[in-house]
Amino acid sequence: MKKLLVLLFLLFFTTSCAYAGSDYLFLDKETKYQKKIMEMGFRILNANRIDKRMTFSYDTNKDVNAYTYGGAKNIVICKGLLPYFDDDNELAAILSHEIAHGMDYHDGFFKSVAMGFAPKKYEEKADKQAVDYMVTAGYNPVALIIVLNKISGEKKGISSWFSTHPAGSRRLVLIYEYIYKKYPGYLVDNDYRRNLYYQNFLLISKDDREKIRERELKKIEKNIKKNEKKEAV
Amino acid sequence: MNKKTFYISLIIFFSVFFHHQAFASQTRLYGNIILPEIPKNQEEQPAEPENEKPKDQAPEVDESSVIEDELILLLDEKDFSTTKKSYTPLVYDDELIEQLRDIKFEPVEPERTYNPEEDIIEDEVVKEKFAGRRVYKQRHVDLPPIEDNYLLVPKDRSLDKVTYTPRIIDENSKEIKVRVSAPSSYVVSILAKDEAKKKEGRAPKFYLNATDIGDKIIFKTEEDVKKDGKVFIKEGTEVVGIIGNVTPPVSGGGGAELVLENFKTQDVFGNEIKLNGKIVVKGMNTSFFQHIISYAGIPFTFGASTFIMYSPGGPATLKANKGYTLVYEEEVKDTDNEEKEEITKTDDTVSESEKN
Repeated sequence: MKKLLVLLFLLFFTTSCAYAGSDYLFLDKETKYQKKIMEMGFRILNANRIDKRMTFSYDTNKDVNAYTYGGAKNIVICKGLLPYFDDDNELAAILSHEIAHGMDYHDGFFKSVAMGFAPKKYEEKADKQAVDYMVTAGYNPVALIIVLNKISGEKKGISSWFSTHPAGSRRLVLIYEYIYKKYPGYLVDNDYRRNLYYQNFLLISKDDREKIRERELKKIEKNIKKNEKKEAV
Repeated sequence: MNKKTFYISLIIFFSVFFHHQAFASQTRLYGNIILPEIPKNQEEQPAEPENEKPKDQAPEVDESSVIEDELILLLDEKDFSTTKKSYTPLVYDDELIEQLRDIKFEPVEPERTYNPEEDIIEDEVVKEKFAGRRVYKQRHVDLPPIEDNYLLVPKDRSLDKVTYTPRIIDENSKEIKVRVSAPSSYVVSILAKDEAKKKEGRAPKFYLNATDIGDKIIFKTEEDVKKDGKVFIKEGTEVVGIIGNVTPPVSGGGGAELVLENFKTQDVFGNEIKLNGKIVVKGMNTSFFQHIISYAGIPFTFGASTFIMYSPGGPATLKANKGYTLVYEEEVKDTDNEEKEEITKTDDTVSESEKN
């Protein structure tokens, strides 16, 4: 009888935590932030024709963080992040990044387990998807570089083995490369050219940007050779 | 219940529970319990938000002090109006590409150099209350901004920015489905790093380093597509899709992904048509099987089988002759806003006539 009671108590404890975490209400005076986050989030969902349901909420916790609840597919933006946003594009960048995570959570439980094993790869994937979502919704994807330059940490070496996010410099360069390949117009006619944080990114990433251009040059040379061969034939 | 069964069930339960907690921390299924904030007095006025405080404006930069070593190599002559005047821009041409290798892109020197006596900007720190303490003056200089170095943009990629137009899903919106299939298969895997190799009797495979964003894959329509009872896309017409994103297989059983988008084709009259939709090819997620094998093999391999959990998932294969559906959407005109624009125009004309 005692063993049964112990088992029941354990089951109740674990299931109650999940229940409490999934159904909660955020009641806050600053409803306009909640409204803005919701409007922007649903605009991104509608513009990208995402047919999977997600909700958005604003947390008064002063952590500098944003996260998605995998079970409820609820995207939360904490109050501590708001001072880091200078315009709507930067808020849209964070929301679209979290929406990309939400899309992965919709794939099932085993996908979430796989995400736990390789969180850094899925963070890089979410960064790339965020660029696509922002562009189709009409936002400037360069803002993602600016926001992550302000927020993301720079763990390298042994301390990065157990971290769930890759180093900030690597993320920024991957996003820049993705924008360079898919949406170069946003870099040629860059509205954030003189932005303080983008200038810092240019200062940090000089070598990486030169490598990206060398790769593009090699590709162009290959295509020219192929075209020459076709013409010769 | 026997003691053995009780303790075995406890061990299994805790191992599954903590394993899930440790490795699925991203999910936050058992997240923080957040309680709602209940105000003490309902008549409390909302606090002023912090974001409405005036922000310190960034210091203005003199245009004359800007280093502009920006060299944009664009392939269309129209875009040369945006380039700077301190050097002659190069046109990307098949003949000139060989010269690019010999050219050294040296940065353009600024018109004036840094002068420590003139370029100092003094900021006074707030004076301290106690006399006798020194007031430290900070000196900083507004250095000229860094410009992004030259950008190479090939011909196929457009420099247009996407304009957002909200599309309304309405009774009037028509969607026509288009079935397409690829004539040959494509594979995204992590094993082979060499270039694409064709094998006799087997479909060509493009490996990870060869597949890149912007590459094209050609599909063909499987059947005639009709609009208002008339055929406007014939069977067998080519549909060109562009690779949007490639993700390799990931450790833990996550499969590879291949995303194709921006589909274009031609109708019967030769007009270019854009097809909406994405083709997402996902590899098999093997995490379930990896977990079972790793746990089952623990007593036989002294725990070494747990490394199986870190092996990658399956490759993403775009199979030949497998049908995918894309959507052709007609542009729905927003008639409500057009009527409002007409009304506003007539009001302006009336007011002008009254004035006269």
